[in-house]
Amino acid sequence: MKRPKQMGDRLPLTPAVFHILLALSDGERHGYALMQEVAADTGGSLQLGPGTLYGCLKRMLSARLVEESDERPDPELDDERRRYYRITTFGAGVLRAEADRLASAVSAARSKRLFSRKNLALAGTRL
Amino acid sequence: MLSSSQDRWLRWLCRVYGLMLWAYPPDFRGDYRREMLVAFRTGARDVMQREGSAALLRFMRHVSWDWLYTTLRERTTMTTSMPALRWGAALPLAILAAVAVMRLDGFILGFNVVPDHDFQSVGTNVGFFLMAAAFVSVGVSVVPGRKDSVARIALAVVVVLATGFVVVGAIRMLMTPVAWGVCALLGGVLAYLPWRLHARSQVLGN
Repeated sequence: MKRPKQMGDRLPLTPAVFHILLALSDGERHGYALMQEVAADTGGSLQLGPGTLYGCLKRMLSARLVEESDERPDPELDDERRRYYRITTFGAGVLRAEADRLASAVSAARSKRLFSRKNLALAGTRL
Repeated sequence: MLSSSQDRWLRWLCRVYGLMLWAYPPDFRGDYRREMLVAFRTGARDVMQREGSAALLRFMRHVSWDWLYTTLRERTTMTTSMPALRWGAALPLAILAAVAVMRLDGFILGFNVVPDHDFQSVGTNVGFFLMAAAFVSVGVSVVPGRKDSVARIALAVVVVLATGFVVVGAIRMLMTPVAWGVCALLGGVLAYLPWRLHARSQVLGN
């Protein structure tokens, strides 16, 4: 019997993989939309080039974190060469596990008072 | 809307990027070349429309670094893992094939390069080790796609046969079949392990 894949086996995720999963968590996207959303989510600090994006997607497809989608939001308007990707149930679980792991790291950093005053508010801590 | 000169620039850059994509390994190129070109063209057009032609320089610098890093990474993945492991896995098979040819040659010509089995010899045990390793290696080297699954099946067969030897040896109180079984098991596991590790390293290399 095939051993079920453990979510912990996939952690920690690289920033690129984490942000791609995050972008896919609220709907399917094509490659360029993913590049834009990751750049927007990270305030421009992580800008994926085509090589990095499709290298990640290749590995994420083989790890079954994402899958290709056959559906097109609007076939009339869209370039037929574009492929759409969506997060799998397993990918969503891995994303949640990674978010929990990061939250624990943030919590540990907060307990050691490593945040600046500006970021304390973002980290959800009362002054 | 782009002016005609901007449009010419865009088409020229797309042609250059299309040529750059030939640096990626064939498999990767086959899967993603068209999409990467679409993403590049859309990105370059957006930058031109938003920030003007001068911003293209910054865009191209970013894309060039991305291209350099990812072509190296994809090429490195291709050349250091798969073919190296494939050759490593094929080696026991080549040795086995050479021994088989020499023995067959002996049967036909009446001259055995490899002497008849001395069943207590270290050579026979090494032979079982190599045969099991070769069996698993054939599974992973020859059959394309889903190599890890094929390797597991081959390993399972080796484990069953090796266990058979060990059990028969134990029942008949003979050390020789036990030694054969243990050697076969070791050969199978050692040929399988690199593939298992390779499969794990392929999970998320970015």
